[in-house]
Amino acid sequence: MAIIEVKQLQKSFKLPVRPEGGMARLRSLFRSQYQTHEAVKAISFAVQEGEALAFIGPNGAGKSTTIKMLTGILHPTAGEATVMGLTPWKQRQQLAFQIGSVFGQKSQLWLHLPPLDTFNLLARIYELDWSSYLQRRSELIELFELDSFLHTPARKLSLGQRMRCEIAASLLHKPRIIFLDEPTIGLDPVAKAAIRDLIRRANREDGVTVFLTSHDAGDIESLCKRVIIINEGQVVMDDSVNEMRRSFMQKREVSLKLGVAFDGAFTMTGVEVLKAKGYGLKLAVDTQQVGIDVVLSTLLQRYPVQDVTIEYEPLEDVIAAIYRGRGEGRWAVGK
Amino acid sequence: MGSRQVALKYAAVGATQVRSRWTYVGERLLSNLFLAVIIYVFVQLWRATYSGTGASIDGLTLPQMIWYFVATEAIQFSMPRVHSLIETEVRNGDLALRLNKPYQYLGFHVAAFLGDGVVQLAAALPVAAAVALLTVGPIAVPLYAIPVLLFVWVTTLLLHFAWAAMIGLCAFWLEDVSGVYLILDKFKWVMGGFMMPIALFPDWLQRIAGSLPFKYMFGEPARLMVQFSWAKVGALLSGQALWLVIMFALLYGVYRLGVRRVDSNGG
Repeated sequence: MAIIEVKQLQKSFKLPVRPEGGMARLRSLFRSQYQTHEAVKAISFAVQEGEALAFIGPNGAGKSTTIKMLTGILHPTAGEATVMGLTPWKQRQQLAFQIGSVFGQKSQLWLHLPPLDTFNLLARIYELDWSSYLQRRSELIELFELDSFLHTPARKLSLGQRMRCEIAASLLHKPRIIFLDEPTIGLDPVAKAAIRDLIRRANREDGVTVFLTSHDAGDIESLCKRVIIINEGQVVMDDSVNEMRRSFMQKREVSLKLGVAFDGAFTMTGVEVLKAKGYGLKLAVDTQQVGIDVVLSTLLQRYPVQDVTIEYEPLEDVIAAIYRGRGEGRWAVGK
Repeated sequence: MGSRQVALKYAAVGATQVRSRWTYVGERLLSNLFLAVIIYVFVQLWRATYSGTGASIDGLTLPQMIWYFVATEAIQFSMPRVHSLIETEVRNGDLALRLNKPYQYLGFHVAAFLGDGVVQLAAALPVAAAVALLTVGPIAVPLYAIPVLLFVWVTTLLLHFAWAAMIGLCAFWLEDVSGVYLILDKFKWVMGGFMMPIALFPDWLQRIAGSLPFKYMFGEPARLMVQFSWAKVGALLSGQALWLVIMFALLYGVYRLGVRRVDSNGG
């Protein structure tokens, strides 16, 4: 069952234009001029209940505008959307009871108070039954391991501790969907792994639908099975993360430890020498142009090889390439 | 949605704000020592004025005049800077963070404003009252008047909220509202009888001030404290009720226009 349905959703903004020239500026004081900016251009997609979706794109692509429409903060210019059967911009308050949100760069915790006080306040804001709330709070405290800093003012918490509290706070009212905007931004690798694990658990164990926005490829890889890439207000790709890998990760990085010093004499179509120093050699191989087996057999004929590792191109390089337009045509809107 | 739960929700916002602000009540108390200097200077000025004019000005004795000033200062000092808070929320997009919670945006700010105001009052009133006690002594305020005066403090603060929040919401249209606030706040001071009772103004200015809401934000509540009577309570509360309806209707209109602007301009 689709928990989010978006059909031909559009949003245009009117942006004021500051004309050049003194007279034109004077006239603009009395009659403002505007230009229309199409932030979101007729996008359509559906999200199933319990799904974990990465909704990504470069800055200014239309991600935030889409999320604001789905949470009822903005009215669309055209098109339709339903979230849990509700029209967000018409039933914003009703919807707010059933969704959670975490903004990595904005806190819902009260800085001078311990997280426990914010939890208690949220219980009132979401009109929770007090005994059910206390039980839910205990579950989350245990799951998120918040016990040791539950009574510490939020301003004294580390970023990782704060983010654990933020996510717990957004799950207190048992939302069916959670919107996560850069939930791991600024965190160290250990804290990132912990946050990802908690989000994964909420998704897999409690069935919470995850709608994730992140520039961190690690978040996408470890949390989501599906990815929607939006650029210039259009969906440029809507597929599984695995399919994205298969389709776009045509490059492999081959690192070799040779038995002799590299002489620089190796050239081959589709192969680029990334680094060569002493016995070490690092190559980028475009598998669309030349097979890995051909590259390796050629190398083995010429040099003694002591060790080989083959790695995928990092996901973030793939995403960056899609942003730059590598996916155009192949991943047309409405594919 | 039960009305009890809605009431509990906003009460919880106010109570949480009290706890949050109470953390720094000591610092606030210290910073309010400046208020002691202001009151002391005013005591000297009014003392000189009274020595030239007699025992009563506009029906107020010197101690009553000083306590009038203590009351207006306590109102002013207990007013949180909500215009700046709203301006920041409009400018940096925190408005969206507030709008995706199940409460009314203005309702949340009213509750938080009153909670903050309680702490600010607790940090300002003792300082101002101590200086007045030491310089001119106490005035007679009946005990039964105290809960009424506290209620009036709430209604007065609500008027201040509507005024300041309206200025803060101008951030939807203006780059910086601090200049507008500065001018309009001083206008409110003058027309509200913040420094001196409106009755001491020239007739033409009294007529203008009488037709504006500001006297219900400073002068009239202060006069009620120094010359308490049930007749004054009735007149003050009915005047405040009228202006609360008008100002909150205006505030809601400005808010709706502002939110629509976010919708068309993207914030």
